[in-house]
This record gives sequence, structure tokens and C-alpha cells, in this order.
Amino acid sequence: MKKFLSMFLVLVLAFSLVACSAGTQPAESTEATTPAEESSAAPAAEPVTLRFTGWRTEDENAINAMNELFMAENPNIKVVYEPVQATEYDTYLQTALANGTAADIIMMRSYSSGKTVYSGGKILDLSTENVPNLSMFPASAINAWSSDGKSFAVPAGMTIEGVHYNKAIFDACGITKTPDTVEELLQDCQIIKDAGYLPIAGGIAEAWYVSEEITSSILMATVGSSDWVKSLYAKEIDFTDPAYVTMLSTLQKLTAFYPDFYEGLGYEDSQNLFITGQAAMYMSGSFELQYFTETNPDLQLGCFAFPGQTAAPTAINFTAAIGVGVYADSPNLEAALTYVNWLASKEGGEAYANGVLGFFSPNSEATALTNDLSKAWIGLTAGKETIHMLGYETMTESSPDYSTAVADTVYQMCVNHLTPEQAAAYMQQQMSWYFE
Amino acid sequence: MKRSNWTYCAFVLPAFLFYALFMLYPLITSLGLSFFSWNGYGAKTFVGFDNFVTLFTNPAYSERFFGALKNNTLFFLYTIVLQNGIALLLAAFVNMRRMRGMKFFRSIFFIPCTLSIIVVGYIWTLIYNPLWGPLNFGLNAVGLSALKQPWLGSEKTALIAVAVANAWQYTGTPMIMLLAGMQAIPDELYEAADLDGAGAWKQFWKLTFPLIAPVMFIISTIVFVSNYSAFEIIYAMVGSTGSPNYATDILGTFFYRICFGQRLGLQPNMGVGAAIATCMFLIIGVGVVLWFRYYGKDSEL
Repeated sequence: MKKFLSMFLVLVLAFSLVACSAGTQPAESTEATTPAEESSAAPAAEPVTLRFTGWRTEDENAINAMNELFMAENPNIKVVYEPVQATEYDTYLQTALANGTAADIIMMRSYSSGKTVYSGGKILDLSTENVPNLSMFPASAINAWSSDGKSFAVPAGMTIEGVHYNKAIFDACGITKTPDTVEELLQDCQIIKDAGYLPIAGGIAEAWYVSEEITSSILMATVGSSDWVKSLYAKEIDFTDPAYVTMLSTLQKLTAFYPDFYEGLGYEDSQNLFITGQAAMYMSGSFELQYFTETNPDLQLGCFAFPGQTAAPTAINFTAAIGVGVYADSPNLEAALTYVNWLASKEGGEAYANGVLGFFSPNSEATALTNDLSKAWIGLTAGKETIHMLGYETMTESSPDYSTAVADTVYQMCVNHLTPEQAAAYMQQQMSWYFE
Repeated sequence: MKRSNWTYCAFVLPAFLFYALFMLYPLITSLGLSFFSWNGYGAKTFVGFDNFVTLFTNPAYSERFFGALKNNTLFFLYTIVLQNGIALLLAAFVNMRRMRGMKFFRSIFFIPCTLSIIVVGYIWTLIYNPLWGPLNFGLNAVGLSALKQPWLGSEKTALIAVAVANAWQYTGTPMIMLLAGMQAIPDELYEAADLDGAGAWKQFWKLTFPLIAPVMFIISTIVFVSNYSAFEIIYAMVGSTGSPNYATDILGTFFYRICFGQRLGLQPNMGVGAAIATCMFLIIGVGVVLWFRYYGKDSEL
């Protein structure tokens, strides 16, 4: 009896531990969404407080400053920005929408990730009827945040992927011209390395950074035109295509100029190496500008598009990054729609682009930029085709998704010494579900 | 006065209701969920054993599942060796009668247990940082720079690095339990052993160790259960992606990714997630039963 009892007790212990791990969903969401001051369904003309949630923790000050502009015009509406760590945001949002604690205004990712959230039925359909300023956007921007012809977010911020560089280190090494070809880039890296600086701040420990900031930039510069992406999506070519192999081998050559133990370095490690002025170059997007200029105002920043293989690049990678949607069950729908309509206007678009450096409004009229670095980044797109990064529009419907697969591939190539050809074959094998 | 069974039941009832609501109900519903296809908010569809079939036959899932199971086993072995081994040494150390200041050391060794896992995980990621972490820095300083590693970034070292951090935090608990076991041993036994001429080493192995074996057994059971359902320390140190290259992917992180931790567009897959949780439950349940069957016969539990 004693033994039976003890066995039972231990089983109960086991039960409860598993039950805890299996049943944490509700607990998790209550933790993630600290019950913010309930914006009570107030009658019109009473001041209302709107909660705005997003994954840009770095831009908190800038977004708050932008919201001040809105609040000055709409004294009855108070907007509070509540950012959530980017890597946790999608999980947070799904649970918050499921249990009804979501914010009134919600930052939405583009394409399939946004569509997944929208398909839960908790994001309000937007149209020119409830958001008149939606008419200001080109179809390409609207499409990034729509599902079956229905818009679910106002396009607010596009970003451009390229290379940040430290002008002081380039000057110290006597490099006067940013590289146009991969060969020139590698030569510059060697010069910088010989001068005792770290050429490239980078690491491959985080999947999204490898996928969105490293491989995407190299790939678009290598393929040079959106035709390649279209034929890949149409399954006419696959990942063993020579262009993809070239992308991988270019990255392999570059990793010779990465820091020691780069396989263990993540995004923030790489970012810190660059911000603190230890590294000459850093591959990422224009979205870093706000954080960089706030964190180290003395850094002499410059940018260039990732070089082409044999000549100057003809294409550049961009991301439909920030869309802003409305929570369908929000008690303050009217005020929330006022806010997103403002964000869609020329004034709101410019407020975002000038308030949060490195994001560009797709509103074709909102083009007045005040910051030189922002101007330099948007200037990179001149004369080039802009191609949306892989793994957003499609290739996310099954496991592993594109982002995870390419990060695994790069790890296999860099750490387990696969050749670029073998790595491309490995990539194809992982993504074979897409081509079936 | 004789009490009826109903009286006993009445006393147990409040606790049972609480337990049923917060333990049995979630457990049973999550076991049940493994027979449904569900994305977390839409409609549920009954699919029978399809989730288990997917889990065991679709390579995208089965490779990860068995990889995670292997990592769980390794994590368990590392913890048994590191945590219990060190706990035994420390308990023997603070149990020494002739040393002074042992109360102080007892507290020191127990302090990590009281820290938050997030804090411990964060501190250890800083220690392991390959660029400026004190571990690599220290190796450099003592001339062992050849041993420097990207600790959390290399498949070879990542899991053991996490296991060390985990053991560092939790060594205090088994140490206290072992210490209590040691202090329960009557002094007369040691006096007799002294008279028989047994040295300290012999006394430890022939006297102390057999008498604390039941405590060891309980500790190992707890480690088994907690390691096969581990999640927090891994998540705090290397996230839920199992990086590098799934070397730190355990059942808990795999479950989390499938259920609700997916990034970019993949629908949460509660059904397969629940199937993983069911497997974890079975592994732990069956493991504990077998463990008690074969090793628990003589224990005084």
C-alpha cells in the first residue's frame, strides 16, 4: 500500500509538471498582457485612451514623439505605445487576440504572417469607407497587408536592406569609394582586417537575422531582378539554382571577415559590435537608424547597397515591415480608426518616416524627409528594382519555413563545412515540401 | 468517536476541487486536444490519431521529436552527474563537524536556488559570450586560449553549457536534502566506525552513502521528472529555436514552437503540440513507474 501510494504521488507529480507545461497558454497570456488601464467604453467627446502595441521596442521614444503630433490634433484621444520584444511578439499577439486582451491598435506584419493573424477574425477589415486615406497607397503596398482583397492594416513603414558602414574606419583605412562588386567588397574587407579592425559585425546564431538581413541582401544583389524570385515561387527553378549557390558562396567568403566564434553570435551581439565602433560594416536594414543614432550619436554612419557579383547591383531588397491594424473588438473603434486614418495620410506618413528614422511610408505623397541618413538609404533604391525579401509572401505554410531553413543551411555550411553546392542541396531538401 | 469515510472526504474535498480544476482539467483537456486539429482560435476538427501519425512519420516533425528526446536524455544525464555529484560533495563538505562557518557556506550554496531562472539564464549567457564573456576571457588569461569556444553557439558545447547553468542554480536543493539525510544518521554509528578504525573515506562510502541512498533516489526521480519537462532555462539562455542546429532542442521547446511559438506565418498547431505533450507525459509516467519498480523496491518511501 505504501508503495502504491508513493507511486501514485510521484505520478501525480509527473502529471502536474506535464500539465503545467501543456497548459501554460492561459497563464502565459495573462503574464504577457499586463492588464493595462482598461480604456473604458467612454461616450463620444470624453477622452479615450488607445493602446498601441508593436514589436519595435527600439523605436519606443520615436513612436511616442510621433503620437504626440497626433494627440495635439486630437486632444480627446490619448495613444499609449506598448511594445513587446520582436521575437515574442507573434506569440504574444496570438494569445492576446485569443483571450480578448489585445490592444486597440496593432502593428501587423506583412503577407502570410499578417494573414495568419487576420484569419483569426479579430482584426478589423479596412477599406476606403472606414479609412479614406487608404486610397493614397499603391497596390503593391496594399497587397502586402491584405487577404483575399480585404485590407487588414494601413501600410506604415517600408524598410530597405543593405550595408551600414562606419565612415571613420573606412577613412582610416584609406577606402574612399564604397564597393560596387563582391570582389571590391572582399578587397576592402582584407584592407580593413590588415589595418587591425573587424571588417564585418555579424553572427549566424539567430535565424531571422541570417534570413532577413544577411542572405536576403546578398541574394537580391546576386539575382538582380524580380524575375528570379517569380520563377522560384512558380517552382520553375529551385534552391539548387546557380544564383542561390552563388549567394551561399559569397556569404561563405564573407564569413572569413566575421568576428571569431561568429556561429555563436546573434543579432544583438553583431549590432553592439557595430554601434560601439569596433566593426567597419554591418549588414542590416534602414530600420536600425533610429536606434543607432539614439545610442551612439557620434558614430559616422554611411550605407551602401550590397554589391553585385560582376557589376554594380541592379536590385535591392526591401521589406513591407510595419502595417497598423485595428482590433475588431476594441471598445474604441472610432478613435482607433481616426488614428490609423491619420497614419495613412501624407502628414501621418511623413511623421512616421521622420519620427522613426529608417522607415519609409509607401504613401506616394509622403516623401518629404528631413534626415540625411534616411535620404541616403532611400537613395540606394534609385535606379534599382526593389524586391521583397523571400519567405514573406509564401514559403511559410509548412515546417520548416524559409527563414528557419536558410538559417539551418547557413549553419551547416559555415560550421559543418558543407560546400555551397552541398548547402544548396540541403536547402532544397528542407524546402522540398514547397516544390511537391 | 468513530468518523465515517464521509468526514474524511469532506476534508479532502476542497483540496481535490482545487487540484481538479487547475491540474486534472488542463491535463485531461490537453490530452484530449491531441485528437483534434486546431489552430488555437478557430474551430476544432476531430482527426483521431492523425496528429500522432504526423509526429512520428512526417520527417519535419519526427526528426525534431527524436532529436529532442535524445537531447532530453543527454540533459538528464548531464544534470544527474553535475548537479547530484556536486550536491553530494557539497553536502559532505558542509556536514563536516570540525569545520567552522559551515552555516555560512550552507546559505551561500543555497542562494542560487532562490534566484529567478531568467536572471540565472541571462547571467550565464553573459559568462558564455564568445566575444567578451569572462569564461573565454579567463581561459585566455591563464594561457588556455586553445580551449576557447562559442559555448552556446557550438553544437558540441551548447547543451552541456546550459546543463552547467541549470546545475549551478539547482545544486542547493539536493544538497539540503542530502544534508538532512546525513544529519539524520546517528553520531553513534560514526563513533563505532572510528573505534573500528575506519577512515573518513571509508566512513563516507560504507556508512554515509548507503544511509542517504533513499534520498538520492528521490532526488533522481525529481531530476528525471523536471528534466523531461524542462523548458525555462533553455528558453532563457538560447530561446525556443533549439539553436545551434537543434543541439539544445528539447521536448519542451519543440512543443512550444509547434503549439504557439511559431514565427512568421505558420499557424499554431495545437493538435500536434498536444500530441507532443501527451508523449512527454507518457515518457515521464512510464519512466517513473519503471524507475520505482526496479530501483525503488528497497527504498523506504
